[in-house]
Amino acid sequence: MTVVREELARFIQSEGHRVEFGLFGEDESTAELLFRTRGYVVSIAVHEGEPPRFAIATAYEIPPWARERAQNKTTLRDVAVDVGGVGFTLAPNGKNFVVAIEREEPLEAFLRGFWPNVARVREAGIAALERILDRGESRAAANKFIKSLQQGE
Amino acid sequence: MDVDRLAPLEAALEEEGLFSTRDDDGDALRIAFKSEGDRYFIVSYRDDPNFVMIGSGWSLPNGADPERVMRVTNALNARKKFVKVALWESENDVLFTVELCVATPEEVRPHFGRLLDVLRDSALEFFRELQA
Repeated sequence: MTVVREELARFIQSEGHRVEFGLFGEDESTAELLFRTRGYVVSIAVHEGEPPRFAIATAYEIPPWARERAQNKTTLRDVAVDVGGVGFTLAPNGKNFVVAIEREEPLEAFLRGFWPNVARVREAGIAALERILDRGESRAAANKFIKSLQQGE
Repeated sequence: MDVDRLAPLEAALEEEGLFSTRDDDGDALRIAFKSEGDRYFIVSYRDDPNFVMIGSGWSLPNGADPERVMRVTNALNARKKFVKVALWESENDVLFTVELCVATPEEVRPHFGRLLDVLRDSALEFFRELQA
């Protein structure tokens, strides 16, 4: 029997990309496909069903100097509202975040929107990271200013 | 010994997780590959080992106004870094290339992702502006 994950893997390969199967859940109806594009690793979670469910996701690392968890959680929430249709998850340790789009639709429909959705995930991730870094730089500049005031320069 | 000058770029494609195929002959070394479904090529000539070209070719839409096509082509050539845009094959196709002079293609490797992005963006902008 041809399962959705195999058809999806064949599609991604036919578009030029190597595909790896990632972690499987205990339930074999769920699989993860991994491939690279434009320097990022993209994960596609596939849950076989009628219709199947998909999640396109990419992880971004936050530089150590910008890892302020509470602030970044708020930033990701703001970006999610601005961008729309994507979800952000900040890792408990605050070192990275994942941006994802979830779809529940027949495979053919999912494939029609595949690359635009991969692009949306990438652009949302880049936008979020830029905003986190902007705030981090502002905070660093403010701290430097406050410190210099305290030192009476 | 004949050095495979395109090996570093094949390695860059491998690192990027892309399939590629080779089509070398007596005149040139060639790599063909796809990324996100779009076709690209890399060429190096045996008699000009410092020259490397990365490119992609696209068909023009039927009925495209030749004057508009020329204007958009010229505007992109003037504006974009790295990329040369040219009409090709009786002006039915448009070719986007990055043409480089290098001591070794290894020099291209760290910048390969950027150059591929420039080619992608140029094609996207070309067709967007043609339809505007």
